[in-house]
Amino acid sequence: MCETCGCGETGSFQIRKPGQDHSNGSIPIHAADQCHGQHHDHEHDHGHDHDHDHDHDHDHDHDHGHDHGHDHHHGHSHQSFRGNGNGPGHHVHGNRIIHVEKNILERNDLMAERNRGFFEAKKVFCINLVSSPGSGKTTLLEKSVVKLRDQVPVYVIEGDQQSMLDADRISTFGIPVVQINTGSGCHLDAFMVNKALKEFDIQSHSVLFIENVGNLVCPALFDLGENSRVLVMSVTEGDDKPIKYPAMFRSSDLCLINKTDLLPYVDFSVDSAVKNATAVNPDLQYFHLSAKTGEGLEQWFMWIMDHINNLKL
Amino acid sequence: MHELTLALEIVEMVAQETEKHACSAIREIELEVGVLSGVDAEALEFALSVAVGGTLLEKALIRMVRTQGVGRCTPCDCTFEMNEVWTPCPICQMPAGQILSGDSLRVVSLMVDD
Repeated sequence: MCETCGCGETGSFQIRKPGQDHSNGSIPIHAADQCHGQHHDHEHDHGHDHDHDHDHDHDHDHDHGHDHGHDHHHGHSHQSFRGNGNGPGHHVHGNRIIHVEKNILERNDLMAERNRGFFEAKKVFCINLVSSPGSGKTTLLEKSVVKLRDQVPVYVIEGDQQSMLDADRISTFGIPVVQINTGSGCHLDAFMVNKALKEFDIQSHSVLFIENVGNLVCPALFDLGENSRVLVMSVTEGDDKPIKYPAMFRSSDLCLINKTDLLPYVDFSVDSAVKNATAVNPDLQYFHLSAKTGEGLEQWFMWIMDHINNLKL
Repeated sequence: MHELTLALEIVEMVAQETEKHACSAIREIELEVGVLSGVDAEALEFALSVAVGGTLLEKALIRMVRTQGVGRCTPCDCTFEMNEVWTPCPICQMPAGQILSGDSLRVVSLMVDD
């Protein structure tokens, strides 16, 4: 439920930057609530007391596709309902059918396209890093930003339910980083990323890493506007993960099989993992690497630089 | 968990539609949830039961149509039923090809009173 105003809606999140320490760690620079619809009436007072300057950026600047539906007045039984065998027996004279015909994720997808348009115009290569918790995303990110920062501007958006821990880790390398805390939310969405982007002054021909919330299920459905979705799978997980979590493997472009230094000690078959993942997504690419030892990282760095160089064409 | 987000999106979308089309009550809502959509239908039903509270959808009948997964095998150029996104082609056993249908997640229609 909403942690900002306690109104019972979900979708509240906070965007914070390192180095703005406050009594509880950091100052929230946004307490955004994009999921609250415009028709949502608050029947209570917002009695927040803040002893610091605090921007409430509550503009609802997302697009709505308003003009697709149309009404049909029905004076007879209809057959537009399909499927569940209950038949059209609920129809009463004078009812109307509104043909909505809209994707449930329409608002997110529209915002994702706005983000994608921004990346295209600014020639930013945006990577959405997804995985289950503990796969080594943040360690991989640390190694990546250190390698890349001398070649291109690097930006990082960190997504976690709570804490500034990951943003603080990245910040020590002098990289501009914004932390999104999703509260009870289990994934980042395009609205959160859009808000976070406004905290950077992003240069052209750069790379933006978005480290999603560690979760192999929910983030799969939410397009952030990224250029590539990169899935990190570690060898300490089961090699049947692709079959168990097909949506994420299906929607990813590149799979990094991480912690290969541990292969001698675990029952993980790289061949089985690749076979299972290929069954779900025949187009998935794979790199085997160990973020800890550095083994195999060069091909990952080259892959990123190739994409950035392609943006320059 | 993302089913709750989806349920709230549905409620928001329906609020916009009912305001635009000026109606007093919603009798039914039809949703299309493909079997390959990555959404657990039962979890969505449960999330909706919570999310519709205090809205026009509260007393509406929720019809959830589960669309069948259909895929096309690129080498064979055949279409086949897919129960999972990794269902292979029944002829050549190639891994999951192009999904033709079954991955949709839509609000199809509302039956409303004037």
